[in-house]
Amino acid sequence: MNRNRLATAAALMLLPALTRAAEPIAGAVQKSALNLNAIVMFALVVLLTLGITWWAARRTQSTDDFYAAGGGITATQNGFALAGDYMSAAALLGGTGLVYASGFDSLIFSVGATIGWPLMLFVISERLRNLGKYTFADVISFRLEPVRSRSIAATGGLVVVTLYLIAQMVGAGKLIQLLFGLPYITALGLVGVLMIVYVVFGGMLATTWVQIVKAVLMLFSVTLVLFLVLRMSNFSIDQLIGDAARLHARKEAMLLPGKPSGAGSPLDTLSLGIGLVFGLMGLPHILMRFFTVRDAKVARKSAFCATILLGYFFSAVTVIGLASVVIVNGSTEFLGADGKILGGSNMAAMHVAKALGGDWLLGLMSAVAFATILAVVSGLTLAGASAVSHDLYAGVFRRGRTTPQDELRVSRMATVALGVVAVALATLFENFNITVVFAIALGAAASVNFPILFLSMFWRGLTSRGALFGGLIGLAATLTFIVLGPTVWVGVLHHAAPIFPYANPALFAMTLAFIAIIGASVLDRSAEGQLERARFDAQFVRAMTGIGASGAAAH
Amino acid sequence: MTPNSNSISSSPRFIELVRLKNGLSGSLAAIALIMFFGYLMLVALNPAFIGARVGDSRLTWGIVLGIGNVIGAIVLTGAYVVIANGRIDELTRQLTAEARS
Repeated sequence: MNRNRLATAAALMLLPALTRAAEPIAGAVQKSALNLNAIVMFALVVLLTLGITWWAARRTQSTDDFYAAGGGITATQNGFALAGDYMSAAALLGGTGLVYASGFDSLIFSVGATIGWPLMLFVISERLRNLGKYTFADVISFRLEPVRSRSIAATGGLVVVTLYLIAQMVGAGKLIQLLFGLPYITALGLVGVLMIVYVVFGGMLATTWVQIVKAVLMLFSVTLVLFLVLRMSNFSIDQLIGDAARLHARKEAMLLPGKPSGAGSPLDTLSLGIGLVFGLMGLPHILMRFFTVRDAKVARKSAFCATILLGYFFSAVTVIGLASVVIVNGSTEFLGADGKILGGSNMAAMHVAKALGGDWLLGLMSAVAFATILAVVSGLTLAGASAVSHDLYAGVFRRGRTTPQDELRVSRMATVALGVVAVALATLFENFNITVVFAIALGAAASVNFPILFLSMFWRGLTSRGALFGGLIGLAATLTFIVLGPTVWVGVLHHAAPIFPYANPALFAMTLAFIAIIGASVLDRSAEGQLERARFDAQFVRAMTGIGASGAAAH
Repeated sequence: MTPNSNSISSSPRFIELVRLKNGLSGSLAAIALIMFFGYLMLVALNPAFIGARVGDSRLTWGIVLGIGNVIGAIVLTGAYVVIANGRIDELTRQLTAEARS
């Protein structure tokens, strides 16, 4: 096994290795491993993205280029890139798989993921663009003491990004293993090397264009599958729902809420919704994209564009999920000897593609899933590297006294380090339940980053001491509730009953964070705190008008 | 940052801008939150209704209201962009020009 791993790792970039690596995996996987279409399209994706990186590398010289693509991304381009960040492999395969495994619950996640975007637009995006330069920590430290405020913002940002990155990498390793038959470790190495190359050489410009290309590919293939699905059911959603309910494991009950959306526990359902909606507004790699456009007006249009694309995407995923029930359960082709779906419920979308479009469509969807992984992990890596170089190194460690060249050098080193750490941790966590990791990441986004960012823009009374103290409380609460909750206490540690009864901590952790931040700020009687409050007026004028905003003078 | 932020913040244009912008984003955000959390509370408290058929079709209220939420999100963001592109942007332009002179 080890020798095999080493051999394939050595042949990392050589495509023939992909076909040879198929032996250790059984059943359905072997079939897709021999899919020549998938391998050709996989190679095309790699070539195309490397081409983009080569092009972007020649245009990436300053920190402005590296962190914010020079500020020259248009509204439509940014809309596709924002949507692309949210159209992850997990959203496509997991969304379809959730309809297959549970039913209606999938729609809750789709609606929650879409409804966060209007709020992002109304509440966050324009003020964020007017106040910040490269990272959301810029906004928080606009009037707050920079060392404390950047420390907590970068900590929150890094926790979210690193955990997301690990979860994505574990998912990516397994998915590539399934789709292309590559060993787990080889798949991780391949993804790790490619993402480091995109970010180190091409910065935000390459990351953005890889994301745009992937978003277009994804929407094209999903539309194709959607059309074939609708044709299959004579363009009647009625018929599709009827057939799905007849064949689903839960029968008609698939149309009712189930365990994933917290059925039977209203507070759990509410908390899930809060995490979905407010978690979005604390995701550093998404927030960062608003700095790649010229001004608040363009940021506004790009959020609108992203909402349309995501609304369409998530609706299409739900319909494809319904079709997966009909296709997989309606014949024996995609069921194993044990009567279970081949490759697990995450393969439901792939089975639909294979059934309706043959090897060609399966190959296309596999390549799209692979492109998605690459694009999403590069965005995360760039956001993490910026937190290290722009916030921690330049802002905290050097107290702002550094040169752009120096900062750029550190950000590239941070990118490589993050890539290596992510691959190492993903190897370690191969058989760990990654939903735990996702839950902590989303929880920290909603309970650390969002409250601080929101209060820094909307509440004069916030001080850096309040932000630091409350942010740490939010982080501690998220971790505690998840460890003591059903996901870890019962699911991982195998205790009989959870100490904290709710699977979704956001409602409780976010409320605690808000109380702690506000309480500590009110109690902060320091002279520094007074100054921070006094600086709110000037910040408010800039937040509302954009006068003095970064990048505005250059155009 | 802005040396003349005091004079801006007391200008009638700025006061109008703040009123319009906060009014617009506040009311649309409230609609979005009520729409989504209202839907979630139906899911949590009245699952039978979520699974109930709409008329003679096989569509359920859960599906129709879910898709309604998605369409609502698109309509709300669209409305925001259209409205903000009008008077709000005009005021912002005037204030920016004032600050430059």
